[in-house]
Amino acid sequence: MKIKGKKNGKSRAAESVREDVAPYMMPLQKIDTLLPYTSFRIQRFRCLKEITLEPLEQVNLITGKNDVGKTTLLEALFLHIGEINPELALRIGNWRGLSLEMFSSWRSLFWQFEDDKPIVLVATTIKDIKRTLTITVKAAEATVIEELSPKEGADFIRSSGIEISFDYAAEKGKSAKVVAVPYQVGQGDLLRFELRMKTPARRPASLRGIFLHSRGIPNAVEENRRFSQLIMKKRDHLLLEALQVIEPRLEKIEILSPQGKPMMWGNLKGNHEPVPLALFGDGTRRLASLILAIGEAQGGVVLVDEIENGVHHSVLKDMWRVVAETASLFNAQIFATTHSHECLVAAHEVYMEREYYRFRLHRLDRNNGEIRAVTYDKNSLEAALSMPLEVRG
Amino acid sequence: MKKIECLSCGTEIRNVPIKLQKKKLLLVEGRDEEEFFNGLLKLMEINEIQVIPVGGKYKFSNNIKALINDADFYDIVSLGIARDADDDPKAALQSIGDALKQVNLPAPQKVMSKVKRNGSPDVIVMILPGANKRGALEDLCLASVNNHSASICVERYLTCLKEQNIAGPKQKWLNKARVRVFLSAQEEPTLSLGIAAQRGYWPLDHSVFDEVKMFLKSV
Repeated sequence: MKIKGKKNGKSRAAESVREDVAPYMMPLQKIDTLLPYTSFRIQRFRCLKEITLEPLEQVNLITGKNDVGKTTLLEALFLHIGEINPELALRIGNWRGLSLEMFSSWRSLFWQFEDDKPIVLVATTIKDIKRTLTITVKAAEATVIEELSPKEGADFIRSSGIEISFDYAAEKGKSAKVVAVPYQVGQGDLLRFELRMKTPARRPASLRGIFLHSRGIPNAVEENRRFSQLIMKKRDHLLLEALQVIEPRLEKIEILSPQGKPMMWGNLKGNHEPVPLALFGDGTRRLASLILAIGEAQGGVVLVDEIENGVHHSVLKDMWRVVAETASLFNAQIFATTHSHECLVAAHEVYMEREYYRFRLHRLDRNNGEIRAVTYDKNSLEAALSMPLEVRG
Repeated sequence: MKKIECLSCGTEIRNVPIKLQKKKLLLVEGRDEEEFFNGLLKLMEINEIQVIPVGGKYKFSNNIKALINDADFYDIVSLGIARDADDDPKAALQSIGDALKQVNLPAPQKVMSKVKRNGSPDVIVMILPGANKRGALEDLCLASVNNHSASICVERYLTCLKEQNIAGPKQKWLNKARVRVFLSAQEEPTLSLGIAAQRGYWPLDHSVFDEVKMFLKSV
């Protein structure tokens, strides 16, 4: 039984867990207004041996030096949101440029490549319910698909010889498990899973999760769909207002298909005809992706790597104002990484202006070879910035 | 980010965050005390202590929380804390102790006594002007120039204010006023007690500073 296939080598800017679980999504009205994550613990995932992030807020900005695991933290959240979706592990490897050389791809998920011990990702919600994803691999006891000699015109098929298990358990509620054997098809450019076990057969994923990584161009089809949904909800003005922060000449955004392929276009004051959004600057496109993702992830989570990319320092505060407003409106939780002092100061100042300070700064530090997280609340961040101390590590 | 200005000329002197660069820290109230203690440490040829202004008494609790969050705080081996007694030296020590306990650092029960605990930096506290007295760092500085001719003029100035029926400074600000009047008598006047220390207007080798020097050697 096959559960998923994916072409390799196509890195996409906006990838959504929802794509894979869409048929099983909870209706929006059933998602409560509480935060999806109030704490998150990672054990043995990539460079993070044991780390806990708490308390979490609606907007969580993650900073720290290079190679301390900021993106890794987002990836761990992404896997956890996906619950029992091993294909997500391949995607995050893909975004990092890892090939589907299966053995090494899977091992790279594990701390120091030690795949004989499980990866454990534990989230707590505001209701104090724990949701645990345990990822293990072991040698497949008997592989149905063995390495075959490629015949002319036939696919080359090679089993990974390992069995990967995603075991998701929620206190007082759902639990589910997938056990599958990945195998390569063709010249290693396609991966499928031979399903060994899945319980229950059909179950809804709890959350929507969208990952905006730092490289690559946005997925136009996905963004058209998200913008269409905003229009359906009569919230499309939010995107226009957000982008006007960076491009004040922008008067209208619409989906047009003059060449047959639908795209987002913007009308600029003084221009004779609309301009494809793809021709706008990086900052505008970045902010568009972010606002569209927040709108899509209503009640869920948006993960953003290097949130300040392409955005001029003079508009960072305005950017955070629209992000804070949109996140609050759609009740979305945001985890974003940054290296920028100006970006984190802007976020802090914006939340200081708001009625509720729904922001936390988390820094990852490497100390004696191990990485730990430090969290600043409103007072300690204000104190650190006014002394002023370096809060980025 | 908050801009830090020169106490003497008002120009911006620090627009980058403080980086913890030494393994011993001395936490003081403000920029003035930072300058003063840096002057004293320089005189004593102590180079391994970094002086950090953590804000006044009311900011100390939050600022110590911020400080222990610093990425380089793991490397700190010794922490000295100096603050003014004001009206109540015991309450000053108690307040520091409470803030230290909040962030799980060892809290000394008495001044000038180093507390050690595994996994934490050593902590030592001095309440100025020292010896369980009320007052502040200004009192020590004024005591150090008690025999200076300009000190006679300072007192005459305050007497003159009374004679002219000018209310003058309130009692609690009186020594701050004395410091400023005294410093206005210097060749290059300054309002800052700390800058005055750097310029040698306070005789830092005077015995009134001995307890402070002992404290700094213990940090």
